[in-house]
Amino acid sequence: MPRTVTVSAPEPSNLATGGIFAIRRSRAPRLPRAGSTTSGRTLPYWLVLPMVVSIGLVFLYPLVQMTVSTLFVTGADGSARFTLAPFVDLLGSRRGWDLVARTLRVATVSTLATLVLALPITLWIREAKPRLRGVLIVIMLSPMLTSDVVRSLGWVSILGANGLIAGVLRFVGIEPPRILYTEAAIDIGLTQIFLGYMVLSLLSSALRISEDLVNAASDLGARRLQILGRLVLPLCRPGMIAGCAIVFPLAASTYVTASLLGGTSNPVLGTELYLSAITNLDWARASAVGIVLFILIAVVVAAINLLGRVATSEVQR
Amino acid sequence: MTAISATAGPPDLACSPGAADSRHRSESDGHLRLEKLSKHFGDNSAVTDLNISIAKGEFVAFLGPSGCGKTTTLRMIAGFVRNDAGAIHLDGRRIDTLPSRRRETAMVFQDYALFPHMSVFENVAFGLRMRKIARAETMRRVGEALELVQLTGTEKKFPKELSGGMRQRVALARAIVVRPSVLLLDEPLSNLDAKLRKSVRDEIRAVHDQVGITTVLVTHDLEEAFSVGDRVVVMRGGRVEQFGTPQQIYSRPANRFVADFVGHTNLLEGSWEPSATGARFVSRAFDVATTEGPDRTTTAVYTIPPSNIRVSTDVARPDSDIVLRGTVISSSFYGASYGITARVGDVSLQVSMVTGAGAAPEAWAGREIWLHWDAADGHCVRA
Repeated sequence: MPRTVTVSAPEPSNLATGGIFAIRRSRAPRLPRAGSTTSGRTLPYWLVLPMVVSIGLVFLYPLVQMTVSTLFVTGADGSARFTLAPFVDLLGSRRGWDLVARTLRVATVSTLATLVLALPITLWIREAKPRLRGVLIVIMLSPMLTSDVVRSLGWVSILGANGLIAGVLRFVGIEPPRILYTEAAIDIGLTQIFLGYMVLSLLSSALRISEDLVNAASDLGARRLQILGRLVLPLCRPGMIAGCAIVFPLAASTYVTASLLGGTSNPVLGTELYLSAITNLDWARASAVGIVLFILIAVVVAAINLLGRVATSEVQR
Repeated sequence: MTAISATAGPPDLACSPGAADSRHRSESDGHLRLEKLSKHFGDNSAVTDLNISIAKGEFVAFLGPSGCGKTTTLRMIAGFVRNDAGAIHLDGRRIDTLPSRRRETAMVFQDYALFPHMSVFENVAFGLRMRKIARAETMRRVGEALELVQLTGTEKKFPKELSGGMRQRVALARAIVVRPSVLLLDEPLSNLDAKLRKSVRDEIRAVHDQVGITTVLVTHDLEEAFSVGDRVVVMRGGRVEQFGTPQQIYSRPANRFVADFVGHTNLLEGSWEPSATGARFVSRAFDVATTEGPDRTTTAVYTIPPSNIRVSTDVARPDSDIVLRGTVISSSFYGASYGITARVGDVSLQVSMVTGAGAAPEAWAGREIWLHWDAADGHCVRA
């Protein structure tokens, strides 16, 4: 049974379209050109379907499910009742605000710390000869090949009471202060773990600054510091903004690092979520924590992006 | 205005432009002097033993094919590349040991290198800001510079909003506003549309004439170099092949490479022999005496511009120094002129004839004609 061919535009050179239907139908069907059959026109949608399904399943469904489970409670009689109780419990309590505040603090401090540390690293990589540059980038990013669990455990052994730093300080006769199980420890761990993302983001801006641009500035009389402040740093702004927009959400959602390095006395929203869901099996509370964290991150990232749009439009004009 | 300096091309060319120019030889040091300049990258020798002296206010074009070392030379003058040997002197002071920001040079880059995050005003004011010039004077000088390149009113725009030609003029304004001793231009026209090139070329020359600044321009385009340069340096393989005015280079090319590069289409092989009266060029087609020549017989090339060859369809032999009998192979009409290809023995000659009354070369195919010229019309160069 010959395939029906739909003609979109006349093309005399191609037998599949044009006017020779009578001859066409008596031959064996050939593969249709994209766009020339009804299924061809819908082909793009079929190709996108797997991605839509997986995003729906993995992201949207849990989000909806989480929201539903926190906003509705099933009573003893099996009926669902709308309630804001988990949110009230969370945000109405002192503990709740403590969680929000600490989460914001560690995320902000570690994001800014990665920014401050990544800038000289990026500039150093930029100055290096191309061959050395590749090596430096690999060295810089290789820690990201290990999971943050492993890296957090590593910090435990460095920052602990019997760890590396404590040992060195005792050796020189100083009584080591407590670092592990403080908020500072979480800051340190988060900074190191997410430094690679910030460097990558800054590099994409920094490497786009052509050598002639620097030569031009120098030619016009700029010293190295002036070139840095007036040329390189302003042109790196898009990378800085993007880097913050990447690192902040990651840092704010921390739970392994916060729990390993902060302990029970420094809970954040991430650890609270784990506690509620896995330990206490209080799914409603866990969902509430999750939603609060989500909204918190969304607001901050939106603010960062707004800041970025203003900065980027200046740079790219 | 210009002081023609001594050095130009290989010294043993007796019939060379060096000899012709020597009657103008002056002992002035030159405003910008490149002395025995050399630079190599690894095994590759980019510039070898360059000696050029440029007078104050002169416009010199460095011309040559890709890889000849002209851009490297420019960047050495600017200070972005350190020379391996030799020295660069500006106004009597040695500058090649100084960093680029202290050299009193300003460069217009091939891709303009405008600061994308700064407005036109801020770009042009950059050099002044680095020199800590007061705000009022900065505004005045930026205004002047923009007026010079006819970009008044664009101060608040950003490079992204400007066309290629406008960006180029901003780059030019940015360079001249700091009043450098030397203005350097790196292939300023190569990124522009063909249509824009002529007008921007004229603008660059106009700015030079108005400001009177010593200018060095690098290009691979013959027309560009000849139309803007007071003098031209022809370079190949890191060395200077010839240094002289465009007229000198065209009418008396130093060697076959230069002759070919500047567009001499008629290059006749032969040999050049010393003789009692000077020298003689000898080839299968003809012989001609020259006033100067080499010490020993060498291979040489005789060049005669197509417009200098006269053509006669008369039966009588013309009365010129060199007379050849040839057959017309083809003729082309270009509107204002005719281009004729004629065969003389085993050599092809191109002739250019202005369209005029009487002559109708389109009917000449296969015809036998006289091609003739006087000794002064042609020139022999060492091969």
